[in-house]
Amino acid sequence: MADSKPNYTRIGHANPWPFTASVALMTGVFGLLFIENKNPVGWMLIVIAAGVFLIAVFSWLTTMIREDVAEASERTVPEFPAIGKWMVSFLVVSEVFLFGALFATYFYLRNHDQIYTQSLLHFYQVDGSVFEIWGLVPLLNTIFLVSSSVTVHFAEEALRHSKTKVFQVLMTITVVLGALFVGGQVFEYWNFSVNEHFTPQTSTFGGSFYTLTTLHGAHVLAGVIVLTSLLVGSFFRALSAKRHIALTVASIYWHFVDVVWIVLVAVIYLRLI
Amino acid sequence: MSDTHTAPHDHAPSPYPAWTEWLFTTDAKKIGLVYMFMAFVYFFVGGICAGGIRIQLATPTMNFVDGVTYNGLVSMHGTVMIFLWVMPFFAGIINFVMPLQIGARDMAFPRLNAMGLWLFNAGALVLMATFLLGMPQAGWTSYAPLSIIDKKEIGMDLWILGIQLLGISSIMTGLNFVVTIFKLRAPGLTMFRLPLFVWASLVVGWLMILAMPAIAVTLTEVMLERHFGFTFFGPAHGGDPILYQHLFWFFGHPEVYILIMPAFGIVSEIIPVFSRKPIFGYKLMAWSLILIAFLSFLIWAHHMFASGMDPRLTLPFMILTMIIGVPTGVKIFNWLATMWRGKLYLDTPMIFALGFLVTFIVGGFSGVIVASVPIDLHITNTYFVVGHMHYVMFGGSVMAIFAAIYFWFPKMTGYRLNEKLGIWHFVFTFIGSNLTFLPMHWLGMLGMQRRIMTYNAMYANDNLMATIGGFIMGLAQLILVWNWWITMKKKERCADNPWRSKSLEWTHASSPPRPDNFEQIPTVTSDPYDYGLPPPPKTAKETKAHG
Repeated sequence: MADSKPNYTRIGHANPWPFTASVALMTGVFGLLFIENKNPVGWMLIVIAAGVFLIAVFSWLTTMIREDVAEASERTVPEFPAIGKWMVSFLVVSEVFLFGALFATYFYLRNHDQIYTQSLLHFYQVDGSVFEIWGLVPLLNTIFLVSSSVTVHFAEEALRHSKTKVFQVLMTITVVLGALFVGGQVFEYWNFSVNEHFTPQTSTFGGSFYTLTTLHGAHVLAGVIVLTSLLVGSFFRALSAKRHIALTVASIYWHFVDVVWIVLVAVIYLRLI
Repeated sequence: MSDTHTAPHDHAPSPYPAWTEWLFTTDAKKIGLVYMFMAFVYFFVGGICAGGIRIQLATPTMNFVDGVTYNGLVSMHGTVMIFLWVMPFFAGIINFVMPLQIGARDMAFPRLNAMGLWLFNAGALVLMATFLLGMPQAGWTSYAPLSIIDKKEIGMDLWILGIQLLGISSIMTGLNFVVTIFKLRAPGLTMFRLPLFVWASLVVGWLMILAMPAIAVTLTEVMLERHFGFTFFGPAHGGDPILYQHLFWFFGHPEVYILIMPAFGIVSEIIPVFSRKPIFGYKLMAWSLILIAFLSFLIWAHHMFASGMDPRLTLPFMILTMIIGVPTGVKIFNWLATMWRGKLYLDTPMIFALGFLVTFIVGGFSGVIVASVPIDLHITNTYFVVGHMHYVMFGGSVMAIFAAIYFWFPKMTGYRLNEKLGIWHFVFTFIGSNLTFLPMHWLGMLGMQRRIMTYNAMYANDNLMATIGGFIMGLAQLILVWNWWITMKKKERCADNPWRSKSLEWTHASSPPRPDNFEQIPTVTSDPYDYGLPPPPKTAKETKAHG
């Protein structure tokens, strides 16, 4: 394996954006602390930090794309060592442990919290009727997310075969489905907290439910942003049959987010385990 | 080994002003140097915290600091030494040495590497802010009832947010290590030809990837409970403090191995070089690293035998903990066997590696003692545990760090640290550390609790001894600073390979290495550590080329 591949990495390019992004994050952290102390300076710091962070990330990504386009013209091997694919695979493993810790919290509290068991009964019988967290919205969301996983797969296939139009149509569908999922999630939160009076503060189950679904929703949102920027990039010829590693990376991540949702539905919504 | 494969490299001059050289760099070697320098600064910050603790404990009822400051010093000593000294130092030395050892020009993701570095510095500054705004009170473990009760305590919030930044930095760094080692090895460098330091880096990368998410979740939950009314750990609303301990130690125990695995790697590099012998049982050394890493995820609850968790869990965790002593013992015997009948050169790096062996064995044995449930129930939370942990962390990790400094200093700077001062540094560090940490074992056996600021007069003599030892150990570090200072001033260049090592960073790169590491990427044709063996027969091509 190690014998045939060229040793590839870009040397010596100084880059200001990692430093800038880190300083922005640190400023944001201090902003949070000011807010906790009811100091209005906090919000100002947060806004500045968020702005600088976004600029830094955007500049970082455009530098990457520019280099990528410049080097691709000189490439002889279509996929130089596909380090991005390896990277995202290991990242997914890390994310499994991230969600795993939250699922562990849920299972532990389910087995140990006496009040939880009572509160569970309480929840399912608000006003004499049974409050069921599984319903139309999570069902639709499941359909959205699973089908978007299918469309992103065929979008990748289309790109590999240089069918740019098909790719763009399928990617648009994927992004719309992802956005619909996020919308459904927001609607569900509103419905639960306002109509059913089920909030994170209600019980330990509320805490677990909201942290798990919010972390997952944040992953979906991040995926939507990444997929959208790839779709936009395809109009500027940033992607092609020979240069689709970014899409491969994004779609591995997207499939993972889909799988997490299925586990979440099985464990939290349907209580199959 | 022969040179082939000319890889293209574009070493463009930086378009940014000169003062940004160290801030904007994406060169793994420069990033490594910044990591190590900052870590060394925080080593002294953590040391000053320890000094405060030891002065307070010099006599049974000293009034050196008040209780809040004392708790703060205890919390910050642990936090700084773990997260801002040992971890970043290892991240730095791996950044510097590992790409050179695998024949790569840089890390797989140089910019992500820079992001990891600056997130570390950001997190470190957030933690340093606690010294101004109020130090956290809950210890480096921040157990849940303590960390969620006082919601106005700003030090706790700073601590949580700082550790979150450091955690993100570690995940990035870990991903980078793993991808680099899997994908950027020089031609011919198969997995079982990797130097053991690279194996240790790989395993540490995996531990970071898998352990850090747990602390991210735990601290997020603490934050949500502190400020947003969620319930996870507070028993008043159905939470469980023991859940915090489970989650924390699921991170915390692999973390301990993040702190010791690179030390194993460093010692495995140094002992063969200074014994002029191949390492004994190379494959077993690599597999034992993997086995230790795997087991480290299955033994977290041995920190919780006395916590009130389900007693049925204690036996499996005790057995698994004792099993981890087996691969560790294998490593120690292999190091000893490597030295057996070797030609030992007692230069400073080797002296420190031998110091590591002695103190680490003591720490390892006391570890097996505390792993036993019946004994642990009596000595948990006593100074015995403090003694054990410092023998492993100081006598293990920090000794290996010093060995690494003396060993790779010529590679980083082109100058060699003064031998005589190095030996004095070792002598005072070794005597000081044993004088500090050895009495702690019997203090613990006699029942002295950890984290207390006054104590029964019966413990007075041993505590005074520990304080004196602590100051000997602390002042000894000034010898290292002095050594560094005069060496950098003298500017006496040493040979490219002063130790006659056979690994790639010494044989195929200059000291200090050029920005892209190698003129040509070498092709590896032999195992590491082939000391004392006849050179491999020349291939037909080589014979032709050299006549």
